[in-house]
Amino acid sequence: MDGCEAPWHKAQFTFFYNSDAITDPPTSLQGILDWAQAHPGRFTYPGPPDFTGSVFLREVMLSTAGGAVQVPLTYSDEAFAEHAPAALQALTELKPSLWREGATYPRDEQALNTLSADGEVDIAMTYGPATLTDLVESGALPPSTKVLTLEEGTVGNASFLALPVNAADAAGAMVVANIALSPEQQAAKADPGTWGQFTVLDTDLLTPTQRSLFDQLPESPIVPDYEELSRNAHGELASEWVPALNEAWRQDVASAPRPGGGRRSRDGLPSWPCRR
Amino acid sequence: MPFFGPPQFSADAWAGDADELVRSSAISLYIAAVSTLLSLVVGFVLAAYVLAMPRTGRIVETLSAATIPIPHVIGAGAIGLLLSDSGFLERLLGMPDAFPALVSGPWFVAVIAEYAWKESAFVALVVLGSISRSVGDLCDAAATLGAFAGQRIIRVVLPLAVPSLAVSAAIVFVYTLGSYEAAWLLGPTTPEPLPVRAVRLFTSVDLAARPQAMVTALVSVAVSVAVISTAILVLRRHRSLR
Repeated sequence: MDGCEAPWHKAQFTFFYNSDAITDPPTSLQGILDWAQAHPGRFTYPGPPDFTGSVFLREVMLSTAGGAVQVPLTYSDEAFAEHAPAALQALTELKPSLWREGATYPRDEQALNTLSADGEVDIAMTYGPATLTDLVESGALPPSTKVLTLEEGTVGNASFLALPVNAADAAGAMVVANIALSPEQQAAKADPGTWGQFTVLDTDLLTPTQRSLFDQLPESPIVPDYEELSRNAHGELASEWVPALNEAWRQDVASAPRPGGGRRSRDGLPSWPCRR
Repeated sequence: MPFFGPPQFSADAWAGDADELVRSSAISLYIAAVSTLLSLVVGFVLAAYVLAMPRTGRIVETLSAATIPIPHVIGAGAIGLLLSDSGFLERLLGMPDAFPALVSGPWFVAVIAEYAWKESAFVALVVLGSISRSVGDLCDAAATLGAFAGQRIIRVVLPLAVPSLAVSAAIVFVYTLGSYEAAWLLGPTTPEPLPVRAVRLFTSVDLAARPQAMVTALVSVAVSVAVISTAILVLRRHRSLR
């Protein structure tokens, strides 16, 4: 269909923690930040522009704004100036309690998983929670790993397949996209042993044989099923928010010499996107 | 070339980030200088050892030559596993709390260690290749005139090795100035050396960061050209180094 993309799978931003180290886990994002300040050096997040670190920034912004409904999905300079400073301020205050006192951040999600496996941090995050089962089975993460669900929900998204306008084999590509959307492929992909990505198909609309493919998927001891994982999920913000927040984080949180420091313009707004 | 409209010459990308570019250049020059110095020292010591000890020297020479084909990414990963906060070295020492921040620390210790390790093998190879034929006779002559081993190394081997040390110093310096993998894997989030900054901006979601990435790359090239020109001038002026 012209101008549309084919959905492929769904993902949910998830926190996980080491249940041996934390017996009473926090249940909200603010709770996680408070826990981090109470346990210095035991929490960190991947440094933006890494994808997972970037979405953590947006989660913090939604939390400091008072909920996902407060922040408009589309980007505008006014919305950014209204909501971003509180998030950056929260992260700057959090900085001394982070791993390595926030002087550096893990390179990406895999580096954070390694820190978690080595016992350097107790709470970590991922945008692909379905892979957690496989990671724990293979020993990459400790067996006491558990998913930390937040009361206010987290960001969820769907991935899509698209065909470029000047594709050489558009018909063949469309066949591949159809196969990727078929119930058999989606069920195979949702098996944690294969990849473990959640399906975009609504199982209620499938035939009973197709639905049985999904019912037969093994249950994971670590990752709850998608309905519980995506409770209260909110949608992704528009893509213009991403570089704006990443750049503001880099200038005002990562490079700042000490908490409360960093370059700020006279009216207290962050330096991005108001060009110097 | 812009998507819409004719291309316009503009110096915005240069002026907007001047202080960050200066900072990144300083970091790159620091890493390159310390890595080069360390690799020269260690490389020369390795070469002197190989020349002095015929049998164990051969083992050292083989090990050193085996280091060279290891890709820098693999080497950086290995150094990361060795020196990280919960890495091999820390576990060997019994998990002290005061283990220094070597990987992703403010002084780029792990980055410099990786470059020094790999490049010292290269320096040793170059030095050995250039002086091994002539050094034997000269050392014997010095020994018959009554020189001790230490004097032979300082007065005979070192002056013979200086031309090859100078050339390999220039090569190692320019290489570490533009090298990306070790600095990205083992360095902190900020400040970042020039190649890391260039790649980060180039692969950014924001396409408007591309000109800034190009500026960073051009600054890296300019600094390298300046270093190479200086090296050539110094080498030409000192006839003993040719």
